[in-house]
Amino acid sequence: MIDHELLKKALTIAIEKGADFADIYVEKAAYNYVTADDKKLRTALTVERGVGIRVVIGGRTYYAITNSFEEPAILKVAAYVRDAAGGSGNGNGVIDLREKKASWKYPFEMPPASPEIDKKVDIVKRADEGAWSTPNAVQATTSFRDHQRDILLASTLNDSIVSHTLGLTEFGVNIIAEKDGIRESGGYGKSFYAGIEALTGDCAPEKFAEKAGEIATISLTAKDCPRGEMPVVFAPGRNGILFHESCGHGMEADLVEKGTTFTGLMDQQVASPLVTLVDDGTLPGYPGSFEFDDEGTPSENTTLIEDGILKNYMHSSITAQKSKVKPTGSARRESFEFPPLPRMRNTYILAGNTDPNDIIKDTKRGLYAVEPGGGGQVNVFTGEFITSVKLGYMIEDGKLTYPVKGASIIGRGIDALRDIDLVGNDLEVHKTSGRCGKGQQVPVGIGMPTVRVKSLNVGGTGDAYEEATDE
Amino acid sequence: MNRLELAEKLAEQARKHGADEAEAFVMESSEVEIKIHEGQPETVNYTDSSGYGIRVLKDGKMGFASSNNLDLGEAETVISRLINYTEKHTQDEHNVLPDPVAGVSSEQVLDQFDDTLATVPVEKKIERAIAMENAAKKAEARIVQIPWVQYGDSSQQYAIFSTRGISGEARRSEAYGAVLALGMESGSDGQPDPATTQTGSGIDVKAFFEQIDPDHIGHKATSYALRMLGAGDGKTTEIEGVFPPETGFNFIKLVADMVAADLVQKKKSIFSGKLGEMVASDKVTIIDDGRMKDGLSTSSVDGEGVPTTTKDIIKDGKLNTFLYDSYTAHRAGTVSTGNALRRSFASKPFIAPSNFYMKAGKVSRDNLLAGVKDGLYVTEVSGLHASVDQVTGNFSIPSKGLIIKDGELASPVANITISGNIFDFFKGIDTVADDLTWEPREYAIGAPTFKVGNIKISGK
Repeated sequence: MIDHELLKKALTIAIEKGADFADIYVEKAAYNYVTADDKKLRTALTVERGVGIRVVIGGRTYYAITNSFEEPAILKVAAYVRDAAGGSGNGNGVIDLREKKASWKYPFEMPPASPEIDKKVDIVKRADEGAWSTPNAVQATTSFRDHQRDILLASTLNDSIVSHTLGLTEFGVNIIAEKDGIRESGGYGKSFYAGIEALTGDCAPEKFAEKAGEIATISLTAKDCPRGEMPVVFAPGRNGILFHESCGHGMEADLVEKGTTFTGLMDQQVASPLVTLVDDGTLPGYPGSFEFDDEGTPSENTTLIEDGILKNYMHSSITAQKSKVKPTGSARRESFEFPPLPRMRNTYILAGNTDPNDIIKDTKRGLYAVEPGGGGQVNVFTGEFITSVKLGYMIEDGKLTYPVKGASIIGRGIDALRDIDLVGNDLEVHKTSGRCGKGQQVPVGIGMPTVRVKSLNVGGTGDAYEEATDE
Repeated sequence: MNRLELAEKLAEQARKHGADEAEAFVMESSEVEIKIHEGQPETVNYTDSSGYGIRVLKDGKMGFASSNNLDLGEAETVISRLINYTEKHTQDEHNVLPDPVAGVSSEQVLDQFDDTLATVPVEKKIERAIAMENAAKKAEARIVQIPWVQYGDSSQQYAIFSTRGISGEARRSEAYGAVLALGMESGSDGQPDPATTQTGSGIDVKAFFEQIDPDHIGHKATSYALRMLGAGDGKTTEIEGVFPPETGFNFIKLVADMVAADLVQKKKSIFSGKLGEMVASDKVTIIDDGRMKDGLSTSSVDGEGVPTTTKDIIKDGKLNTFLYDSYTAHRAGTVSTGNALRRSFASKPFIAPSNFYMKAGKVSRDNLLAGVKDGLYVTEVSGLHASVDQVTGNFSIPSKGLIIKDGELASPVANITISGNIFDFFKGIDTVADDLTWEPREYAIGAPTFKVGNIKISGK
């Protein structure tokens, strides 16, 4: 995309008044959208390119961008950031950059940058037809998005040039069904670090429609979820949002520096001994996977909590330097418009030993949370988090009974982690379709096996919850 | 080539490639974002960008593409791909590009733009951000940390040209400040006890740099944290709820999001089929005013070049109208309300509120409170993207508040959710105070303090 000599020239300028390090991030991206909404098929496309230059001095970050790939524009930005950083020393002069070769094979059968759209249109039509065959469907929305980001990164941090391609295919179906004056929705989506070839077999477009239709249909007959403190059993997979919110964010090192509920607890018990939590950037095909992070550090599988003991935070090079540890390959950017931040990749807890059926059998009364709703949120400084239950079942005497809908779950991260008393042997890592937002949006994966938390505050719209009594 | 000339060239290119009609939008923007930590800049991020978005109409099909590469040769490739994509679309007779309305197309008088954003040196902006941090720090000993301090501003200048005859330029600017303060009570050892942590955030958005008041933002953050210190767990109960502007605006925003005509027409809104019905108590009037003097979201025309308007969305409890763009207006057989927003060149116009607020009542906040025997003064609500079902209107929102006892604010409570249904909530509003306050976020949104007769709380 840009001549390596020009990258060196720009970096030389960036650090010539002194800097901890500087990097230059070059990106060329293509985004496609195909949706069927209200029975109308539409597409859209975006092509973007840009260069971002970062100078870090005394731990402070200065960043600026240009949309141009021309030498004068790039060198101008380099000088601008150098001056903004306000260094008064001298640079190291000559920069030598080694090329780091990416070994991952770019997996897209049909790259988003290609002008070919027919097969993508076909995929959306297939799912949309399936969606409208749902009984009582009054609205359906199918959306396909894919993108490709060709990246070239040169850095004085590791004196290297990395080039690779990131990409994502996102697919989801949302259905609204109406019966006897009641309207309910159901949605299902996934995203892949892969192309349209991922949407086959178990992930065929029709399957998404079936799944979304099933959620909407069951919701029509579901009762309002009771409210109050109760035991909650989480179904495996998508409910991994629980760990993403309740502890993941509080273990991102830039936030840890500011004092989250996980600050200062290294090597201490922060969760039930049944909990081993990892943030894994190496799972092939997962939305949070990549070979190098956005600073050129190789990605890895980082153990955050091992048998309940806090072992690691997620680090960028800046936070790692401050804490005198190695970066974990967690520095990510939404695009060239942003400097990187420590972020999650694919976050999940490892499988335990318990048969998931036994977990339900062992629960006298409580909530079985199946489908999460629209994401979650956390206040990392108090540890207060929220996730939601779009659809679940009440557990009575160790059996699933009637379906319930619409509840928020709130708690404090470490309290919830310590209250985990059963972990199933049925780990599922989900290729999440949503993005994680922290000023910048990045794709992540989440996962968990079946898990029981002894007590959580469930905010349902139904009656007040009554505890099971021993007969 | 200036922005308008470029827009015209792009529209012409689209015509040449087979579009029946085309509309090009060219925007240049300049942004700065500053994060401060302990008196020093932590990150300073400059984002200058430019690009275009283009809509084409062909055989009743509407397509959209955008790019930040302004080279006309490159644009030609994008446009030919766009035309090819658009041919795959479903025909829809309501796809229209608006015609100009006489006399207003290039009027700029209402736009809010701060020329000084480009000339104020970044050092001065950094100083302003540090002043926010200092304002929060000096509050009192129980404020133990200010983990988040951010200042940012953006200036956008844009041109729109369509083959239907819309042609003009406009601009807007905005500056914001945000502070998060962390408070703790002392533990038995006299040291701050992390288990008692409460946070408070102060946010303000203005059109002009000089309107960003560091003391106001810093004080807001610390006072919000301090009032919650010592919070105990709330109980499962049903009581009266009082919502001051800093939490009440979230509910007004829910209405704003759900009165977009596209959601209504697609039955994705709880307001579908409810036009002319009572959807709130007769104490409730909600207004969207795109032409309000000095409003943060005030502009002469919207993102399609259609003049903005002032309208009652809910009048005395009755649902009066929706927010329309050209497409939804055509589909409903009415005229656009000028609510098509373009946040950047990369977004096609979408329906959004302008200055959207609940009309103030006549009682003072103090008198409103005086009438409450047992109630909750709601000080925080969170996670509304996860806790409200847009289709059913059911919600269960994690909240915090202060107990109201015989008209007085008393002890703070946390770890509760407030649940119910949007309609029941708005029908339950029995008193609206006279203290309309703006709480701008992505757009200007305002609410006075109001009281709901009965709210369901779940807690311990």
